[in-house]
Amino acid sequence: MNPEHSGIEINLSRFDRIYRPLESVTGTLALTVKDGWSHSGVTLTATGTATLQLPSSSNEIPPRVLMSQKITVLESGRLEMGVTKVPFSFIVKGQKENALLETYHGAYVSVNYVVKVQVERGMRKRSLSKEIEFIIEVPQPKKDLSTPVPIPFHLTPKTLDKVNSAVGKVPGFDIEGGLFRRNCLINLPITGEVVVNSSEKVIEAIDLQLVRVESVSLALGGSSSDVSKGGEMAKESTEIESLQIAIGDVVKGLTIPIYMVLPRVYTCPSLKTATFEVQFEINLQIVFEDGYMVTENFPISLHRTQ
Amino acid sequence: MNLDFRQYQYSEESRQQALPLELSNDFHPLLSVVKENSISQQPSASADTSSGKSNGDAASNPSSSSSSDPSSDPLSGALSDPLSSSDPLSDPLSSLAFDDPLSAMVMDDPLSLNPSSGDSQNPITADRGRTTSIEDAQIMAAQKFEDELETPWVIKKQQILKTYQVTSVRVRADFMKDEDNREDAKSLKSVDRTKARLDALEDNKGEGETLQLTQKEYVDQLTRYHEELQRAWKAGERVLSIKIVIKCTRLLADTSVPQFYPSVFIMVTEILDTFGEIVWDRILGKAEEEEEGEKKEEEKEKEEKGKKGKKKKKKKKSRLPPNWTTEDINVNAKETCRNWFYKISSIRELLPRIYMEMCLLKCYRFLSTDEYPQVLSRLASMIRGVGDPLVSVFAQCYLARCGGVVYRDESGYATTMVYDYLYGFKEYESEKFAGSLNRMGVSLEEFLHLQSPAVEWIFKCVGRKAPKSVFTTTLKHYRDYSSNSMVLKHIIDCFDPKHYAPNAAAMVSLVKMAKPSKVGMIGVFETIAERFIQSPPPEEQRMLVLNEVWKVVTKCDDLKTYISCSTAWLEVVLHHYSSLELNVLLRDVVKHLVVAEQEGQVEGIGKDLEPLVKLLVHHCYDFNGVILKSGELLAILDKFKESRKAEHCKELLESFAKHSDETSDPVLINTLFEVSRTLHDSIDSLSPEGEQRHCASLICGFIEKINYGKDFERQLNTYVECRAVFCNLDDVETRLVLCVCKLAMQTLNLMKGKHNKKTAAFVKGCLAFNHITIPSIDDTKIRLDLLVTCGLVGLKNMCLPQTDTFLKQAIVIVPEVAGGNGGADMIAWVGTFCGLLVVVPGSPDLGPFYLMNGLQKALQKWSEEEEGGNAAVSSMMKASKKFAKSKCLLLMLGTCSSWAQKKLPYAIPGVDSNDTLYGGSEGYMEELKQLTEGIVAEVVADIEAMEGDSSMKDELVLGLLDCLIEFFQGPSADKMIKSLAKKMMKREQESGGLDKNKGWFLKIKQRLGLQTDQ
Repeated sequence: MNPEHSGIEINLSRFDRIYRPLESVTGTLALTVKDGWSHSGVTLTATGTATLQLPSSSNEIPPRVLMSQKITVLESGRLEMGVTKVPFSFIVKGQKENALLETYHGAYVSVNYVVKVQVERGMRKRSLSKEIEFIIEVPQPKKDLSTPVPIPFHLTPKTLDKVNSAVGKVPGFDIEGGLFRRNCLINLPITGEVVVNSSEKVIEAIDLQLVRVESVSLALGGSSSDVSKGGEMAKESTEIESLQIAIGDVVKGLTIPIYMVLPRVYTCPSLKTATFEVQFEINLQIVFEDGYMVTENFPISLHRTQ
Repeated sequence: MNLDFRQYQYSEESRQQALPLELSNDFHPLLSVVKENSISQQPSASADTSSGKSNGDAASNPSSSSSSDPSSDPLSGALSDPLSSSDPLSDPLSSLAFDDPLSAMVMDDPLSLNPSSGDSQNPITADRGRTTSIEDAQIMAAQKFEDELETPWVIKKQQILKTYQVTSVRVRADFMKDEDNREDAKSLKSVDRTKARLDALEDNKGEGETLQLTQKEYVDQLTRYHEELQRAWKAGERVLSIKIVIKCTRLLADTSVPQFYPSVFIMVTEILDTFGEIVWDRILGKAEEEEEGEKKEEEKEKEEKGKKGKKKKKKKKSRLPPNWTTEDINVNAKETCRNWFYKISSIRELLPRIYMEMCLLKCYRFLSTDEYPQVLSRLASMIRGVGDPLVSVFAQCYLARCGGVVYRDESGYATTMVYDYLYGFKEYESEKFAGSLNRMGVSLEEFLHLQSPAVEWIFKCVGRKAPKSVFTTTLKHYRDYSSNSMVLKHIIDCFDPKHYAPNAAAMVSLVKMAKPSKVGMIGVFETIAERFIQSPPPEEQRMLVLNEVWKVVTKCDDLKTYISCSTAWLEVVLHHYSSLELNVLLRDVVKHLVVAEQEGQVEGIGKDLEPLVKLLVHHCYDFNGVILKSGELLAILDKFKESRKAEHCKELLESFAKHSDETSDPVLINTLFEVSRTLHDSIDSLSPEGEQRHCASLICGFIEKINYGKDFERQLNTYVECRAVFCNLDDVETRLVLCVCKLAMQTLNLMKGKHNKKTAAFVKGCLAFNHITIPSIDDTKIRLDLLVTCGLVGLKNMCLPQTDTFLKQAIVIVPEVAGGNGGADMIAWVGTFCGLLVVVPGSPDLGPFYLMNGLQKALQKWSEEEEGGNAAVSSMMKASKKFAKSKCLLLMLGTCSSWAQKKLPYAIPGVDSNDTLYGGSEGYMEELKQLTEGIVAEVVADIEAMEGDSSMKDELVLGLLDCLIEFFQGPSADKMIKSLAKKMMKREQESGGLDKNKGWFLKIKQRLGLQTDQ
């Protein structure tokens, strides 16, 4: 049977497409061939790049290559009409000294891994190509994560330093709680609790905000000669996800759970390199009626273990 | 014609056999004489020569030596007797009373219960005072408790939808807009987004754009969403599906029209349920796809390696094993499932996030089996973040419902929710809350009423199997925070009463202290009563509990509430208290009704009284019928409309028939008499026949049970009263006649067969009663039967003139009887009558046979009586009546034969029958002969008059032959036999061969001494 179009499909053996360093990525190419044609070889490249961008400027920063592998899947030849399946495999391995970083999709920092397949079909026909992303997780043999480090808090008007309100006087309240751990495991939800002991004003909502703090070395923005200077970083916080954990005037004295599943790909273990950093924070926002808002900030560190 | 009678010697033994003397009131042979002439063309019937003859002959027929043959025993004739199906040896009166065709007719009515069924013969020995034993009641109550806890959600749903309705709903304008695919601007900086959200909150709170919808419009729109969801899902638009669902769940955050909230909850959760189902189906579908991804790959690889071009396997759907676990699920399905949960966990708004996860709870099964306790308790605590108590409790309810489906064993999370809920009552005291109630425009009572269905469901989840410790803690929380009657009602309702019954008194005071809600204190008392039936308060607290409760209940202003509560407590009292408390309670109920009546409040109260009356009726014979005797029940019944009242009377009588023995209690009898009178008066000529019979049988059941022992006079007086009151029901009149007959026989029995002056007068009174009563019965057939019975009784009691009167009366009405049943009824009756005539002495004035003569004439008249209908029917009727008449004449020959004996086959003690009176005098014999010959001649004439040949004719010929052979001797008889036999044989030959072994043929040969071979 003659297919309508020629095309390529890449199937990875793992449904979730998650791999770890030194694991082998296996899969098959499905080459759909119309009418049959000859080609000058089918190549597969596996590339990992870290893309950076300075928040303040639109200057392009050349991406950093973390991984680059090229395999010839098929030598040049002819493919007959129909579907040809070709298996492939490669090992997840970093480029030289650059250690592999976890896949991360951020606003100013991104780490992506893709498999790209290209088929050259000579001068007359346009080449076919296809690329898919695969996900790299890099577990770190980690220090002491077994003991949680809790971050407690107790909010009253007196303790306030970040009342986020436009006008009016501060209403009376007494709210306490905390996160159960500062050092979080990325595959487990962030947990903690909030208790509103008292509040003069009606509470409108309590929000939990997951924020990424991305820093990129300013040096990268200038000429390449400045790289060595490093030093100053441009830092920007953006929200990844925000969850309401309470809505309406909650029962006083009742423990409200903090529970947030970390979104995949949009988070990664906290990252610190010479030229860029990715950190995470949790904001707890208590919104009172009339728009008063109290925020408590919790810096957290994310980790992935074996 | 010159027929000579054959003479038989009746041995004393056979006479006794025919009429056992040990039972002086036993006169069964007379009742069982009815026979069909046995000579017929059926070989099986005619093989036995002596079977089925008139009883007197058969009993002593020396020629038929087959006395061992049961069918020759005259007594056994009763077995085939169409009139009586009872054992002929048993007391004929009792057999009349219970099994005679008259009562049988009544009993056969499919609508009626047999009031005199076996139950009454097995009086309840144990626990005499109560209809149902306490254990049974407790089991029933426990069962009810279980059932209520298991009330499926579907039913609950309907109840809620019905209860909570409004006329109009104010909604945000975008409710009516269809979901558009607007993208959230993801790139907005966090501060901006927060601001945007704040704006949204403001917007929410402010007036914004709102629409006023009717409830119908609202419901329609939700239905539209439901359809849209299904459509979107089918089209593969998963994101849109989620958006629709989220939009719907958002409605649950809106309590601006709280009165409607429970219904909105139901409708939205229906959509959620659908969503949960379709997601589940999708993942299940993936799980059953045989891990295509991998396996196919492998296969393909093999193929490509070119080893063997295996044929591609068909896409096989692997069925998961019925009890599949997460290990049976492939990666693909698991990953899909996980993605769903990831997606849901990132929903910003709390309520949609919780609700979505709840509706997908079932899907956790794909991922792991043992996580449910954690997931459920996490969700339970997440609900704490919902500030609005109404929204919160319904979210809890949904969790309890979904959790109950996936994980029945564990209720820890539900317990948490109960505690949380109770803790939340603290808030109700705050001013802020009062303000929000104000805004919603509801009172706290109303607000709590709205929560009630959700609270009920959660408490049920917890209470089902809760150990005592959970109950104790719940109650403590209740006391610390809630103390509201709505909650208390559900606690009482849902927890095992064993936990609180031991402290019943304390519970009662807890109820009294509870803050009011729409469930008043009385309502809670009602609930607790329902539970106390199952687990009563401890003995020493019972009085205290009842007193405390009743102090409050009796002050209740609302009649409906009062009645409903009283009903529950009456049941508790019936089971666990004594008749004393019962009386007090009953009196209180009546007092309330009376007061209400004076105030004109009883209109339409019948429906509410119904359960109470049902309960009382069911238990009315407990404590020896104290309920009935107190008269309160009747007073309550008076509050019903006539028709309902009659229904309850029926139930009362049915209950009486089932549970009570014979009674002589005048109060009880009087009450039941009133009840029966009410029932009787509810019947009129327009009532359906079945209904009439049913009522009659119930009243008969009551009459049967009146027994004043040896006070016969009083018994008779009661019957007289009954006759006066129940005059419209023939069945009852009939029963009365039979009862009076029985009474007369009992008297005779008591006097050991010899009346003194007083008893003779009494018996005459009885007979006079019957004499008056019988003519008022419409059905002539029944009248005939009764008259024979009465004649019999009269004879046994040596009241000859009365007997004569009865029998004469019977003969007089013979012509009026309808020829129903092809005349078989008449044949049967004539059989009985003739059996009785054997011993009836002749009249000094009118001769020994005047009754027989009369009967003959009456039958003639009867057979000529025209009956309605068209010509064809009427001619058929006529033919069958003629035939029946001839058969009756043959039966009469049996009696004539008996009269011809020197000694009658049986006798009635103290009564001189014709054998004694006439001693076979010549005149007597001559007259008898004339009579007999007249009858034979009439039969012969009848046979000849029949046109052509027919089986009917043959039957008559054979019948006649049989009589001739058995009863007569001499040449004249032989000649007749011969000529008849010849005709018969000719007929046989014509119709195909003569079977010489036929019964009748053998008999004729035997009779004629084998002299002929014709």
